[in-house]
Amino acid sequence: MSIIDIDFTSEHPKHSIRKRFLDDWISSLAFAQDESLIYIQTAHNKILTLDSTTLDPISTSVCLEQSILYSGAILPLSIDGQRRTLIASGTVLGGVVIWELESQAILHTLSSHEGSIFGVVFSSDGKILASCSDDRSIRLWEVQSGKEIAIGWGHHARIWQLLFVHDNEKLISVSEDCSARVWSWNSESTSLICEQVLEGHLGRNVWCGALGNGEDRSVLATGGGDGRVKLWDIDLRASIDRNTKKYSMASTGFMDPTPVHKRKQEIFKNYVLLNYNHILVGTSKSRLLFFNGKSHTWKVIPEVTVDFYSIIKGFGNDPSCAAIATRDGKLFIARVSDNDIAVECFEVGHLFQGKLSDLLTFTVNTKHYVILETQNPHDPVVLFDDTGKCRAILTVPETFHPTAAVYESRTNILYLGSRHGAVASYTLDFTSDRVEITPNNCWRRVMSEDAITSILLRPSTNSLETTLILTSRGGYFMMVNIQGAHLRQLSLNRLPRCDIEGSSYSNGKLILYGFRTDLFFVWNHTDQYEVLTEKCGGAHRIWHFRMNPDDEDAYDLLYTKAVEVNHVKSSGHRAKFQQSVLQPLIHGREYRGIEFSSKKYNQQLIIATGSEDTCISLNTLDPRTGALTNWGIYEKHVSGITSLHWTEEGEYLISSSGQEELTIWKVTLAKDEGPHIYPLISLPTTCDIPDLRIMNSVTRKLTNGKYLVVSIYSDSTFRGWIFDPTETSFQPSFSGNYRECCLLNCDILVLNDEFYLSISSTDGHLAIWKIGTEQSLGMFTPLAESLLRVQLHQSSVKGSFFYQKTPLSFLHVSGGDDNSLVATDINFANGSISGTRISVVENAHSATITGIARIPGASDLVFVSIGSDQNLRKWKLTPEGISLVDSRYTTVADTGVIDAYSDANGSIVALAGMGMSIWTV
Amino acid sequence: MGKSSKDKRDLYYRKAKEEGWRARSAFKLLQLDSQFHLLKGLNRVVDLCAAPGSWSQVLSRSLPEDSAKIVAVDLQPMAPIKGVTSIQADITHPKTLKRILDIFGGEPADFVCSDGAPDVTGLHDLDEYIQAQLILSALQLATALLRPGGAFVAKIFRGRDIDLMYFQLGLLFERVTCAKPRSSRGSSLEAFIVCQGYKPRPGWVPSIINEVFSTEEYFKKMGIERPLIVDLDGEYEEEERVVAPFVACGDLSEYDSDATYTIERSTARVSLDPVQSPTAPPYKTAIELKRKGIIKRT
Ligand SMILES: C[S@@+](CC[C@H](N)C(=O)[O-])C[C@H]1O[C@@H](n2cnc3c(N)ncnc32)[C@H](O)[C@@H]1O
Repeated sequence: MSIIDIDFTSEHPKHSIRKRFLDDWISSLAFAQDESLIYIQTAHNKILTLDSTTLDPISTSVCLEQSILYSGAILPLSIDGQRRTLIASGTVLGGVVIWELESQAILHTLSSHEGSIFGVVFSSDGKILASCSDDRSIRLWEVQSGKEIAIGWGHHARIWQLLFVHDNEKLISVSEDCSARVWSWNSESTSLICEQVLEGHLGRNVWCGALGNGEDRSVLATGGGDGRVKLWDIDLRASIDRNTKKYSMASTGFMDPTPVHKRKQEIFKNYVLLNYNHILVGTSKSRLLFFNGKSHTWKVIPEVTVDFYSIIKGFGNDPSCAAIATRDGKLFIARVSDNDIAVECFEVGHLFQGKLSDLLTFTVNTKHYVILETQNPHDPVVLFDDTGKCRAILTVPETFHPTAAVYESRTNILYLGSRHGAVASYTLDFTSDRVEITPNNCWRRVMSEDAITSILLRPSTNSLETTLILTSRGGYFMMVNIQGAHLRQLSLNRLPRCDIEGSSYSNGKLILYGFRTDLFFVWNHTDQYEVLTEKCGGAHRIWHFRMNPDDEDAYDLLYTKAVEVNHVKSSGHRAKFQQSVLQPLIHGREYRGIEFSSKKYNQQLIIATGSEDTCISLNTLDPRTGALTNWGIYEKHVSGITSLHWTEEGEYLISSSGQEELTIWKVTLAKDEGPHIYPLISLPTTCDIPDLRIMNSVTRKLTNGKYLVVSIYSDSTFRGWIFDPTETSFQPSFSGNYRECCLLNCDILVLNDEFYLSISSTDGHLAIWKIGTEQSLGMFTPLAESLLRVQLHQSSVKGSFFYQKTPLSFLHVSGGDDNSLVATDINFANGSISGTRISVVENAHSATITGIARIPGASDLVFVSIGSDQNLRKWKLTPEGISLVDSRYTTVADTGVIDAYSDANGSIVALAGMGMSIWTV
Repeated sequence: MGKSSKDKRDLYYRKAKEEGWRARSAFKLLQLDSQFHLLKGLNRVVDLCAAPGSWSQVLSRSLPEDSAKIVAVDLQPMAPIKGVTSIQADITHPKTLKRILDIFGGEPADFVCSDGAPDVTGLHDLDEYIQAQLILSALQLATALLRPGGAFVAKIFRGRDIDLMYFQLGLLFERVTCAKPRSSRGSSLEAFIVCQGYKPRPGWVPSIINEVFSTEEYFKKMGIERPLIVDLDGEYEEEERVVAPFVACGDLSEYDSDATYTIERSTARVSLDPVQSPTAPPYKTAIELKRKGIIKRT
């Protein structure tokens, strides 16, 4: 228990913490109403009362119903000047017990839940109690009578906690199903009504919720198993719903003063949202309608005839203007004022032989441009400005149909993306009209053959490089760097099952949006959360989306569902808080890989992490402050990551996971652009057993620039491959089999041009094979028995490293499931190999050792170990043996991985499990 | 314990099925026994948290048929096993002890085991705490039931503070070992404490069984207690901790529960019934509502 004393009298509140350690688990805490007492409820249904100043115990009372509690709540009330303290106990098996501290009387035993009670909470007036249990239901009870008032179903997994909000009129629940829900109830029904599902965490759990304690009780904070802390405005959704408008031809006719009468079978075909909530609509009956968002009236724009296939588009973030192209070769430019619209028409058909089929727009400073194209392969692509003037005629490469455009003013280059995944660049400075230009470069299949749906210029501090973000229908998105004719793929990523339709930056965050099954989604990739999901009924519909470039929670989405256009409008939460993510996350599940690169980025260390959530993440660490910056989260593997390693020079990253996945990623460290990885090649699979896992891998660079890569498997097999970076290929080099167990660790040793492979596994042994020379590794050979097999541990070898002592001998240090650390001398003298255990620390940890790492650079052999006892220990190995140097407790549970880095400034250790922590040693 | 395809490839699972054990856990007790010879010469044994009953099966097969008394306790109902008296009870409940004592007619037990585990939540602190409480309840029963020299085996999670538990156990038994059978997955924190040679606390009077109910008070009476409140900012005594020696048991030639075995395709396809029919979980109503489409994914 910690008591935090906060002094709010100064401008920067000061605080101090007093800590006490109790003999039992604490279920809940409360101050007495006058704050003179502190009540502590323990998991044995006991209340300990402390003096809040001295923290001395005053009394203990035990509930007559003795049970182990999973949850509890204390509500100090004062009735007629008398202290009356209500206690709710959520028991492991016996439902909820409500009792009174002063009289120790049991008021009610509420037993309609099944399973353990995970949460109980009183409304602040003491009238209602809410409880949730392992049965996945939420129940409301009248405290006075003990009567069950309402029940709520909806969560798919355990519910952890409940909170009353809005003057006890609403209830929040948080759950293992990764959502928080907002519930309401009324006297007419015995069912709780789920008003909102808040999904803002990754992985498996939302653990806790807290509520703003100030005036505004509508701000909720949730904390997840993913480490993220996120704020919510729980009134936002209601205001969005209130503001959501539906329009259809049927509704236009009722509008005054100039009623627009619906023609037979006339529907909205195409639309764009402009300033002042004005909407410009093309109908299936060739009419152009204008909805005045201020006066809420409709009108037909006279003398404009569009056609069924007309295209209407706006201009990025300038909603004052729209462009319309009709198949028969008319270009309209519409401009809105606060109360009206003006449309100009330009005949452009003479420039084309075919019918106009698409229209792209872009903006340079305040000038708007339109690109028109046809399906006719002989037609050029033509660029107009917003006065209808033809500015350029672009020759396109063969089979190049532009689908996306962006213009970079710094270089005067126009980039176009195509329907088959190509990107072309054109130099265009707008100094003259009607220039005929040919592409500078065309890069084919940059990401895949899917259509490129958007190109975004990455805002860069570096004025000399161009970085683009491309998105595709197939759910992929990529960052590329362009220098002259050279396009470098920096990163490739995907949103599974998504069709990405567009991208933008808002408040510096990368936003991607599009369709997923029957949803329209808006994803903040930088912070990894969904800004919006709207059930729109499926892809391939007409839609329009616009987001405030400074606030990702302020946006407009228009989409067609049945014959109606829905306009979803969010004005954001800026009035209540600045940013919704208070604490960012890296992974949603346990970390299973962590490694420092040997390369640095702008004086910062680079750490790659991999997790059971299947993602890989790249981060930089400021070694002085410990500040961590995330540069990207990569989703490629389909099962949880099992290992992650950099090559010696930090040029590649190798990741492995279940389902036989192993991928080599190319690393780029562009100046000011951060570290990025691009998946170059993945290992072929060898069988169709889904739970055949690649447990670990190791690489060694060869003198010819190629790499030897070894992958070890859960079925006791291992394989060697030659990876050729220039050809981007894998060549099998060797394979072998070690008994019948799960292989865990591997290393490559090189002595006098001879390569050796060492493997340790769940049987506690280390085995070494001779695998050949650099020349012979180029030819496939099956390997026979190992040259050496020595027992190090009783069971699994959980972590190990080698240290070369002399040209012919190594030290192998390992940590095991048997709590012990072992140092083994591996000697290659006289043409044979011998392994001798030279030092053993039997109870190096009080539970499984889950990882060890050598601290490089130190003159002694110094290393760190981490165990499931949550201790981080530093050791040194001298001729006298292994000895403990230091031991620290870490709050990271389920630790599994550890790595260390040293340079002239010192040594740093990173460890991870359920979360990550960084230490200086 | 449904039958996922992973279960079907789990060799211990298949072997359990073939040899007629109700759960693959049977091999954990068998492997513990092969190391510690726990089941030799027993007459009265208590199997706590016994359902579906594979440990009780092992006990019933190893104990002399005519003279042995085996009591199995679980919250869940258990299908009958020859020679085993089963009671449906909560081992943390004060009345459970009396029910077991009644069956033994006041005679002490030779061996008490508990393979109990709460439904794991994934919240490490909580799981470890609840598991520790379950072990303490089992231990309280064991101290009240065991003859001096008797043995106690219980499932533990090897997490933080397990060394505190080892210390407390060391006050009650001659030898405390942490054992990990090969059939228990290396990637899980599960292990078993094997406590041999029960030595009642000095001053221990069996009558306290009838006086106190809570586990805490009970151990307090036995002189095993923790301070109520400790000021972490001031000076305080660290609680005593010890590390029990670790023993991996089961032969290396036995199956590795972490490995992937390429068993013949044809046999992998043969449908195997789940060894244990799933017991009714507390969230069965929620499952039913989901099936009916009343609870939906949004
Ligand atoms: C892993 S199973 C035991 C398997 C058993 N040893 C066998 O071999 O078939 C764990 C059992 O602990 C039981 N259990 C958990 N908490 C309990 C409690 N407080 N009292 C009694 N049984 C409990 C559960 O009902 C469950 O059947």
